[in-house]
Amino acid sequence: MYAKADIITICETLAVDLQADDTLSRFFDDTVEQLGFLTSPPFYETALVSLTSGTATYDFESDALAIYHAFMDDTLLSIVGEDDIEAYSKIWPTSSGTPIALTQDELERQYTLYPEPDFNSGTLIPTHGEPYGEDYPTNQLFLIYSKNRTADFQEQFSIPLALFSLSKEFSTSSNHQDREFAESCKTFAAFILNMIGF
Amino acid sequence: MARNIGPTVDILMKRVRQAGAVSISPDFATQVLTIFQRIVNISLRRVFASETLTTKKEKLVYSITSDLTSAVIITSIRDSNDSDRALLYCPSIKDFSAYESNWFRNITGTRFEAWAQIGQDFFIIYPAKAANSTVDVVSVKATAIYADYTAYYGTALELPDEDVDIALRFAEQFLLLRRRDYASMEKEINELTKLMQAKDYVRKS
Repeated sequence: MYAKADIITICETLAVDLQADDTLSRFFDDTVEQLGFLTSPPFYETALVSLTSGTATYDFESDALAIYHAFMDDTLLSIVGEDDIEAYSKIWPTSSGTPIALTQDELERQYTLYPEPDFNSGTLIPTHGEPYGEDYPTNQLFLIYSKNRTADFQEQFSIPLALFSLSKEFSTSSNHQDREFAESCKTFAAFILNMIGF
Repeated sequence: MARNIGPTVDILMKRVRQAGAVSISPDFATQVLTIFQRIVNISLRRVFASETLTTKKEKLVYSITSDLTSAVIITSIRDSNDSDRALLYCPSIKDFSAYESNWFRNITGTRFEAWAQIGQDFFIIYPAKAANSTVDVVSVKATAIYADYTAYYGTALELPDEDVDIALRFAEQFLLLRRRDYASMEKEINELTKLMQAKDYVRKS
């Protein structure tokens, strides 16, 4: 597994150290974020969320980019827009019960459950060290979301991440701007990403 | 006979040599070559790994990076306790609903039925059993990455010989980006695209 610093080192070698370190770092972060919004993103994480009776809206996990699947007990929630929620109920903002659907706002980094839970989640007691197995708590929300990460990159992602970051770095107005290099990096990166299934 | 890392890196270094320019280090070339070895393997699916996974009581969700040692893409899961029966592959976790709508927490299974992979990080085996068990997981192997030319000079590459040259050509194009020779790079990438498509066609037929 590579950390961000390992991939930045690859960038620096390829760029013959012409890059500006601060912008390259930012462009690397942007690239990882953009991958997280693909239809099928590469990096996922899971989380169990305790719900509070009467509270429908919750903050994203700190490393979450977008929620892809959510389970309330044994029900796979529909991830929909607010307009679609009205199909369930015209008075949906005031409904309460067991959630069956979820709306998310990636900019506000919040999601809202419909209907609003009318119960408090059970407590996770890690008796067996298996939160997703024997210790699975009652009435908790289980999320699968695309993850924004700065470490634990599988090595095959180092090449496209490095090339996309360099593409952004060298296409931006600067004293080392090189649009041709940037375009070549972008083409190569897209090709490699396609080779590994994305 | 497998090709070793050192002599292959030597070829790569000769191909990307540029008079009067700062050269790349053999360690970096080794790193790039072995990364492209893995990328080519993921694309062409040449080298596989098989390992036994101990499934935990009442657990459906497993981590590829934590619970398996060398998997990138899972290709099949077999129940070694049930005549080595292959479990059904589900492209999406929504497909499990075809078995039962409450599949996620209905922990009454005595027989594994299906599996799905979620991105590069997780996979699900349905249903969860009420006791620990085992399955055999076959996957496209995460071939090893090295960044030390001297230490791994005599270590064999994992790709079959006929595919090593593809990894070598990709590594070459990647390193030639430093030279900013875009015209020849574009031609070579087009050639490699055709080659990969042909190889993929052969693999699927």
